Amino acid sequence: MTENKQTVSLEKQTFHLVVGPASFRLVEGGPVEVIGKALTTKETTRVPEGKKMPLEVKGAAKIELSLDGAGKIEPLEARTIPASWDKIVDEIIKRKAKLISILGDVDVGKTFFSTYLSNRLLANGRKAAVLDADIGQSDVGPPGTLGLAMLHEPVLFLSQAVPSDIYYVGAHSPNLHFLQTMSGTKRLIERAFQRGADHLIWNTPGWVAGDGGRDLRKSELEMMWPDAVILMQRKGEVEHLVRTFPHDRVIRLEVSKQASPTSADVRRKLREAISVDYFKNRRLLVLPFDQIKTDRAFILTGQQVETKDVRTLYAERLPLWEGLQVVVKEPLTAADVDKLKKEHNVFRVKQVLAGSEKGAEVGLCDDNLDCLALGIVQRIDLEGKYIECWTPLPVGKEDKVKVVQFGSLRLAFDGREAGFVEPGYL
Amino acid sequence: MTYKETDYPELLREIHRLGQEAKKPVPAEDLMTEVLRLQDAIPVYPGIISMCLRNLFEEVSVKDLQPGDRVSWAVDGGRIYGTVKEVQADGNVSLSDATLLTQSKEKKVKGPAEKFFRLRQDVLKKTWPSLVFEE
Ligand SMILES: Nc1ncnc2c1ncn2[C@@H]1O[C@H](COP(=O)(O)OP(=O)(O)O)[C@@H](O)[C@H]1O
Ligand SMILES: [Mg+2]
Repeated sequence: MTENKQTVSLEKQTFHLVVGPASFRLVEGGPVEVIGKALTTKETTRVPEGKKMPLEVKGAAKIELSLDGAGKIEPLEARTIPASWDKIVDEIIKRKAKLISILGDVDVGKTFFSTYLSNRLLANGRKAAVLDADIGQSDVGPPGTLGLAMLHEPVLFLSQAVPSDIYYVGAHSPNLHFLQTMSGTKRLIERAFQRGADHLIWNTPGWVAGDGGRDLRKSELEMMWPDAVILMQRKGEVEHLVRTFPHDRVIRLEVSKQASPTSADVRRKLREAISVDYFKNRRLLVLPFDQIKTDRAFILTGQQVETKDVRTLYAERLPLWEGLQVVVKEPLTAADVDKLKKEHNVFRVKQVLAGSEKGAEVGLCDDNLDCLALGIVQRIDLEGKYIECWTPLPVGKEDKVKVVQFGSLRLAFDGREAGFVEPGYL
Repeated sequence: MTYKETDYPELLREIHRLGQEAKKPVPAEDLMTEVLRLQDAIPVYPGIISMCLRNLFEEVSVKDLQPGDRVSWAVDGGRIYGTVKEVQADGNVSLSDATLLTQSKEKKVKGPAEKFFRLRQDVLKKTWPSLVFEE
């Protein structure tokens, strides 16, 4: 990797774009504004690969700039933030809009606008909070979670804001996880206002078309009924989402010319980097069965029973027609399954391969179902009766963990992505 | 009418479409094995499984065949499929686990000693009668 450090003089009333990977720091002069925040000489800003930052130089300034790989700085003709955006900020303050939903396709600048709006609200003395519901391109909290951050100072990246609450959805896409997405969104919206937010900026994922996209976005609007919906679109492509929503609550926003696509590859890299960073201070935590309850999984929700089958390590009778859940060393044959059905008088035998729980990501929650941290299952010991998992949960909080929520993601113990767990498998 | 919450209906249609395509004679077992392999790999993205199925087959010429490849092709009145064992210099291919399916408009055959398996025409009625509606 080539790195190239330089001091650059910027003339007043000029605009520049820093394209990552790069980092910069204000050395003298200014003010220099980035996404509605004034830079200070104390902080260095890192722009990762796939991200860019527009600088608005209001007074002549010197910045120290380091460029890696494809990183660069280029002059811009004009501000990248359309003037209409500022009018919208004023409008939101005037209307006292509490819940503000940001809707739009991927890569139209939803995160960018959310950041700008937060910073502008803060500058106006308002208590702003952000709910990041983009579980695939998380800004607040690790991937797979909804994240709430109460903002105390302007930020350049929402990821710099410390989450006050996270909710584990358990996937990088709401597809097959509609209900968790909805309940989590509802919980965190309520939490934001309990915590005293004047405005909550609800940044939604860019899944806005097709059956699933329409269904989820529209049901969410019905359920949360935001005071303002900011529609970010180029040519009316998301109008279909608000056809039945009160039109006086819909605000249409011009997409910046600088909004540009991020490839699936870069998305995965960005997501994985956040996950690896999240788990970097991990330790192995042992959770005895009598301390916790499992959630969103069948395992440990029935009555343990003995079986005659020698390959079955563990069996439990699930409620009603759900039948028998067995943990096996190797897949049972159809004949073995038939025997088990007869032995236990059930119609269904659900098999889980021993060891397949390894790497399953989990949410560790307290008795109020608030997520304390994420974990990565090392193993579920059915004889020793405990779950062992890797987690960055702070020392001293282990007794608070009462619920282990399962999802569909599988990770290596360092947080890298390693595949999926089929919903309902465990 | 309302929206579908999953992409599975589309996936089923894609599987059916592949099985029906005359130009790509696909053995049903191979097709289902591949669908399940994808389902195990990405169980949360049925829509992407459908997309993969659209790319499941590639046309290759004899010289590009490798031992172990699963191949199939249409022959007059039927289909052949199997696993490539060896490609000979003269372009002939020897297959293992080869199946030759031929179709005839009419055929007289001796019945099995034991029983036939008959495809049930009324399986929904048999399984869940309250979901069967008058025409
Ligand atoms: N007004 C803007 N000025 C400069 N860059 C922008 C602006 N809006 C978006 N971008 C850039 O476009 C890319 C996509 O924007 P992002 O906010 O991540 O989109 P979304 O959250 O809708 O997927 C990002 O690199 C972002 O920095
Ligand atoms: Mg975003």
